Amino acid sequence: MTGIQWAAQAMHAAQRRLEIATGNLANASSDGFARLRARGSIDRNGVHISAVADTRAGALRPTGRPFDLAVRGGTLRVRDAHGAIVRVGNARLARDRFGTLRDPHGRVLLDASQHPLRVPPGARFYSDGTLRIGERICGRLGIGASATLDVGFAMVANVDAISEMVDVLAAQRSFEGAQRVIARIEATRKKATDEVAQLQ
Amino acid sequence: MRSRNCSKKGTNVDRALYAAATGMAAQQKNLDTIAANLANADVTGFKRSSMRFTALAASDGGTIGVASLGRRLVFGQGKLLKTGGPFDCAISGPGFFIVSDDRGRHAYTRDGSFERAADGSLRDRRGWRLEGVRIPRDAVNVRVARDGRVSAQTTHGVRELGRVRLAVFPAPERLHQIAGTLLAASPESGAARTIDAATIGKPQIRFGMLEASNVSVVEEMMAILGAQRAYEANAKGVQAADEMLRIADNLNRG
Repeated sequence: MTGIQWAAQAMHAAQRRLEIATGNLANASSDGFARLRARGSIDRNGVHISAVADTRAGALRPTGRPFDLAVRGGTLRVRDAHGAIVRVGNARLARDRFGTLRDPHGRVLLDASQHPLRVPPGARFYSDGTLRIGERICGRLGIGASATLDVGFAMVANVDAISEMVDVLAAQRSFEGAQRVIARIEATRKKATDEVAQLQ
Repeated sequence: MRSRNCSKKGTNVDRALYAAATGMAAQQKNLDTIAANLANADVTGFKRSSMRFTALAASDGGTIGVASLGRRLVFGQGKLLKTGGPFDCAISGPGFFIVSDDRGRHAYTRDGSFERAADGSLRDRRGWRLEGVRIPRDAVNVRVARDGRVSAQTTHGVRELGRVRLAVFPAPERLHQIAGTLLAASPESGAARTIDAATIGKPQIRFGMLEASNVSVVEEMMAILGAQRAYEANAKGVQAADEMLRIADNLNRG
């Protein structure tokens, strides 16, 4: 590859970094969002930027809602519209009109025996994963024996606005730098052609 | 090389620009909701709401911005304040007072500041009538028990005048806000089920009290700071994307 092609690759990489950083920033208020990390690699064909999910847990924020659940040391099971069972560490659920709990993506919460959990009015979750009315147990989540259920907490996005902003600026500077390299190569070529023309 | 990186999905700078723009719009909506909560912090029976957001995923697994999942009511219990009003009621626990207007439409509210109207019914400030109770002209010393039974001293001695019952919903978060603290059933919320107070899940009626809003001013202020920061950061993203588009444009001019 020529110098200009390498510089163009650097510009593409910078664009991609900017795209990833702004995508993270846009989701600073999306609960449960896992930020994407830009990972660069280089080979004979150029520079490649891939986005890798950063799965570190975000902070837990108290919401005061009875069906915002987060599990420490275990998972919740939800079933999507296609019947696939997905494990999630936290979910902001709401009761639908059938009395089952659904997350914002429409996935239904399953109990310990993989059936949709039906929540009667007045029932509350406890930290051991049971659903009770008063003292009577009326449902149980399969979160695992040693897991703890945090009720009334949502996991905030693990996006740090400052580091994303630094990324935005860094991407912009590297884009500018690559553009200068292209301009310099262009100037050199122009000079070369001009001087060759004078020789004749 | 160029075609592989750019052709299918538009340029990355464009995507960055749109992602940042959706972020700004989301924070704007967030701020609107917080402002509405703060404005109603002193309204009896008001329930705060919160916006929910989710990432917009691109077909290649990346993020192309943020989408709003809409506003949801948050039904945390508000503080019960002793008011001594002659017909003030508050609910401790889940459930709603059932009120209806003169056209027979039903609505549901947590605001129990009722007053006796000329026809003997108990009405809220907007004139919606509390279901289940009528108070005769000669009744004095009206009391509402925790289970909702209304009794009063009349010329015929102490009499029971009716019972205030409560409505519960499968999905109260999806109730539709008609005006202020008045809520109506929606297809998503499911149909109302009428229950007696002090039975299921033990909601109780507290007489001579009102429920304050469940808005915490400190928490809302903190949320404002967060929203403002995120808005700024997204604005920075828009700026950077704009600047990079300008630079790329200059490339052509040489």
